[in-house]
Amino acid sequence: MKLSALFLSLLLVTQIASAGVLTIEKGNRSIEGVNVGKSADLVTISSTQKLDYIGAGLRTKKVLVANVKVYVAQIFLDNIGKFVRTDAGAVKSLADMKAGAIHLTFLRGVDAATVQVSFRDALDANNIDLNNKGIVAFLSAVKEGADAKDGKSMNISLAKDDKGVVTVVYENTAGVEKTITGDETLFKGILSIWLGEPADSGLETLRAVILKGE
Amino acid sequence: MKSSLIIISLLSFVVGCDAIDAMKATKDMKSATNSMNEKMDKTNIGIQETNDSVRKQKLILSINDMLDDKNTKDLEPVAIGMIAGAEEFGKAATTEETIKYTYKLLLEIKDVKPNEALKDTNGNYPASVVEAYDHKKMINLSQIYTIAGFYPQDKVDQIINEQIYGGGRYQRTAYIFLMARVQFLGTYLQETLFAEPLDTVEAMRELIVRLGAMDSILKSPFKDKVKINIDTFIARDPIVASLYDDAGKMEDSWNAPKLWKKVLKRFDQDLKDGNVVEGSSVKTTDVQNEITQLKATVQTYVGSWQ
Repeated sequence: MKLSALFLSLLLVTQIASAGVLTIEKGNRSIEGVNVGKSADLVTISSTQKLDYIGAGLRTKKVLVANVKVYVAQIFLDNIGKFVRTDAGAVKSLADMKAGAIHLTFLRGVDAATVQVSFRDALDANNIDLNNKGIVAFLSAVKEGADAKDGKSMNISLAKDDKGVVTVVYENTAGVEKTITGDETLFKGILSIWLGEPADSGLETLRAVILKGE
Repeated sequence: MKSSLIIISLLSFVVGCDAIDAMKATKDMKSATNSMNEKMDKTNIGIQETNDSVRKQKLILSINDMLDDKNTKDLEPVAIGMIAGAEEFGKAATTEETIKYTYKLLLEIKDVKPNEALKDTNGNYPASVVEAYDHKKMINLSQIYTIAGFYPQDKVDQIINEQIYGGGRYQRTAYIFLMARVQFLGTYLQETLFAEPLDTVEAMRELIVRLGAMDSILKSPFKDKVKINIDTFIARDPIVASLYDDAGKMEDSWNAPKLWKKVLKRFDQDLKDGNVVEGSSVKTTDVQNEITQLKATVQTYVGSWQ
């Protein structure tokens, strides 16, 4: 491989800066004590991209007779004007997005393997190919990442270049980042966990709140 | 068993004697046998009584364990501390004792009210009284959930036969018991086996057994009667659940058709080639054979809902 080609491939892989890629601007309201950001800045290798606030909500899970609070989710995308706030349209409109971020603040301890399984179930519910190279790498990063602890946050930052190459930086609750590359499936798949076909009633409620965008 | 062996050996002895002696001996033997049988019966009764005392002792200990302070403190989302006691209860209790105990717990949940004298000058119960009252009800309810959830399947079948098909005195209690079983098993599966990679054959086997236990209730001819409605809390929301809602839908945690399909996918996602550590070809073959059988079982369940 020529040096220039190697440099180019490295550039693609590290399109998002590898450390501290996501900064959320504080907002005026909170959910379960978690501040909901107004917007976010995604630092890429070439620039800092402004992401619009799409929506936020509480992820609950019914456990026997209790509704357990699992995390507060915040979603940011780069093109709010083209985002479609409907069940059927939200994921489709991701084709018009170039960057996005998901910020999860956990209200309950969940081990990494369980987080991975829940993401995988949600991807499966959206008919995302679980053998897709990028998806495999993403799920592997989640599984190998730190356990989600009460009060800790994780970030998933996504950027798509003009050729459709997607770069994801998964920052686990210990602050350790892992960069993954893939194709459009990776971008659409990850965001469909929260914006697509809900894997359970807790995610269905969360999606409804996110789509309202309040 | 022992007494019948004695009788057979005694009869063999008789064959070698002459007729008179035989008749005399037979008479004597009969008398001896009767005497022996009586003694054996007494011994058996004694053993049964001892066994029953031991069983009842275990039953009391299991209830005491469930009600131990350390096990009744954190009841939600699941009363984990009660599980060990509930499993012991399930082993020790007869179906009659179980259904009567459930009935007693439900009566307490329904009828027990705080003392009027505890009300403040505005006629309201102080927060601490409300909390203690609701908590007491949750202790009772948690016992029902954990006992029902871990109750042995053969005894569940017996309760269904005695109380539901047999028109038993505690039929309504049996419906609630079965609802509690489905709710608890659904939660248990969601929080444990479904929440983790299903990467061992034993985990897969357990999942299939427990999901199968829910499946049989969901398909039962009395499925529309299986429900629970606890609305006697002061502060907390009522606990209302039925196997199917008005539109015929099941809740996520006990949606068997969906869950069986999920299990089927897990064979390929988590249990490829049995996930065994190489070193014993016999064990590896055993595991792979079992996986094939388990997968066929799950496919049958999936098909049964189509």
